[in-house]
Amino acid sequence: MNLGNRKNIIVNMLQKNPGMGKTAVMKAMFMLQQVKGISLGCDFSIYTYGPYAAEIMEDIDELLSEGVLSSEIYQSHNYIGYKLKTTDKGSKAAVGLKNKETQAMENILDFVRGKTAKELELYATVIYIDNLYLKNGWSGNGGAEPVVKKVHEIKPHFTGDQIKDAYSQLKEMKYLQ
Amino acid sequence: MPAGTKWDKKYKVRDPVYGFVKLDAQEMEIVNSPYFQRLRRIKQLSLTDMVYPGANHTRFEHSLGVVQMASDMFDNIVSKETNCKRLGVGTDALKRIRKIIRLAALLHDMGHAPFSHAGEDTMPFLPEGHVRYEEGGKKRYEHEDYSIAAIKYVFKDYIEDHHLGEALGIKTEDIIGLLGDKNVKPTRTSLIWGGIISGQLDADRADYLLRDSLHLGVNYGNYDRNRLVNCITLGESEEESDCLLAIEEGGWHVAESLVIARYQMFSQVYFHPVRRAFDYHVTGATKEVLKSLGYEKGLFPEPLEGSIKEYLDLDDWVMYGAFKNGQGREHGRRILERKPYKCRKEWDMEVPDEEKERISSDLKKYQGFYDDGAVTKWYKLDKDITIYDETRNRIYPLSYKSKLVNVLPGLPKTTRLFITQEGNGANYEFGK
Repeated sequence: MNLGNRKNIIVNMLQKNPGMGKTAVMKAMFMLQQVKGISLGCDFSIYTYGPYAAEIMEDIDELLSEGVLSSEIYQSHNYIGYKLKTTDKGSKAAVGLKNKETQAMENILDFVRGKTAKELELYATVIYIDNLYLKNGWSGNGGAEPVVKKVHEIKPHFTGDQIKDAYSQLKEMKYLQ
Repeated sequence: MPAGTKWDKKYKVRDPVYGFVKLDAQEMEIVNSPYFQRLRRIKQLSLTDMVYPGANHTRFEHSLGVVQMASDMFDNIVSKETNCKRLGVGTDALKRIRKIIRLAALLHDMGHAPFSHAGEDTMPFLPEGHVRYEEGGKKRYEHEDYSIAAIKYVFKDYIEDHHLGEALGIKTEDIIGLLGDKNVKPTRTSLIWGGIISGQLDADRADYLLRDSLHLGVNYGNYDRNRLVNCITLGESEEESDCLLAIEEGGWHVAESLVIARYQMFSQVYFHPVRRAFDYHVTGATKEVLKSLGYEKGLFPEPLEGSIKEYLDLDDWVMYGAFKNGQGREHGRRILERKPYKCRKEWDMEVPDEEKERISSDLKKYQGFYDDGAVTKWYKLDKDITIYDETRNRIYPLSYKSKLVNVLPGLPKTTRLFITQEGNGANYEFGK
């Protein structure tokens, strides 16, 4: 069974870190493409939970219907969703990643592990907006201010300090360009 | 302002789905503009009328319908006090958002190519440096790129200089931002309300399912529109971080019927084998026509300031005229004479290797094509609509509640081999 590159990465990711929710997989894939430069062919847009690409959601749905992944319900205090894991069929179908991809994936997984959906939403949104501002030349002299201001405007449930902290942390980790 | 358009008059346009679509003077001015009128000459479903003869409705009435549907959804959402509190904005801001949504709904399909989606395979490839460019350069522009260019370069004055737009401070960026343009800064409005134009619960699909069913004479796409509009709401997202479009828990059945309606329409209508054959002929014929018009590679002009009007001058009628003149060559003739390649073999599973070899060898001997999966980029099932349980203040995916949606397959996996019915293909049988 040939999974294709992007699906293979998803399956490898879930083998390494079973139990990720769909939104967490989305954020990890976004960071893999945006921060680590792994070519996934995804067109990310900013959405309620942060960056979103329809291609990833379609891949997950296909992997589930092909029996490569399985899902189980989980519940947080105000949310019911699905946790994903690889099946035996998926383990057989998965192909080892290239060194560069493996390293990038492990790096991203280290970052993602233990973070709540809300935290991931914040970090991914900061990365998305920073890149958008850079590409369009809206960053002025660079620095955090325009990005922090925009993130606060579109996601007012995060405080300015929370966004600034996230920005500094990402900058320090060289997750921002 | 065109003669007959009065500044503050409200207009009512007859519509087979809603009875009437209501428009204000600014919207009417846009509708009366030559480039919007072009949508009367772009059929909604390309050559689906070759299978369902009633499928002759156009992007024009669909665009008006999306305005009505989007407004009804918005009005219902903001009629609930809890939603207004959640949004945290006042009446003036709501008026402004409503207007942005209506204009985005009206203009969302401006950039469709002749023959709608079937014409998208003749859109040019994205240039290096484009925000969506990928290594290898295999990604093409999409009709949304043309819609955005049309709004920016053709409709700017209609949006910003009309007193109704001016009074609310509406800018072109507000409209294209809602339509997902990555060259404008996202706003809270575009994030929350973008989903009403494009998303799991958008007014676009909510309109086309009903409209297409009506014109085709099928019932697959029907669902309870009034119930849907009345159940749409704003829920609190995961960990209560923000608000998002959702369906009230009591209305999950209508969300289920919307998903099933869409699935049925895709499998029974949009991916009908004859329609797929004509999509192929449309691509071939369009390439030939474009070459004959001086577009060297047989691709449409790019969605740029200097070329968008050139693109908008092309419509189904121009193409049909060119087919009649022979500029569509072999594929054009097949369209005019209704002589499509015929589906000779269909697979619902992965094609075995030996059969793949046979397909490529047969396609060297016979005119035809292999339709790899009948999946196009415009097919997005997005089956998991968000449901909001207000009593417990929690959200969950529709598939958690609906056993039907949960087992609904993802993308259709059908692949098909099409071969000419003329000449040596007349008696063709796969494997013989």
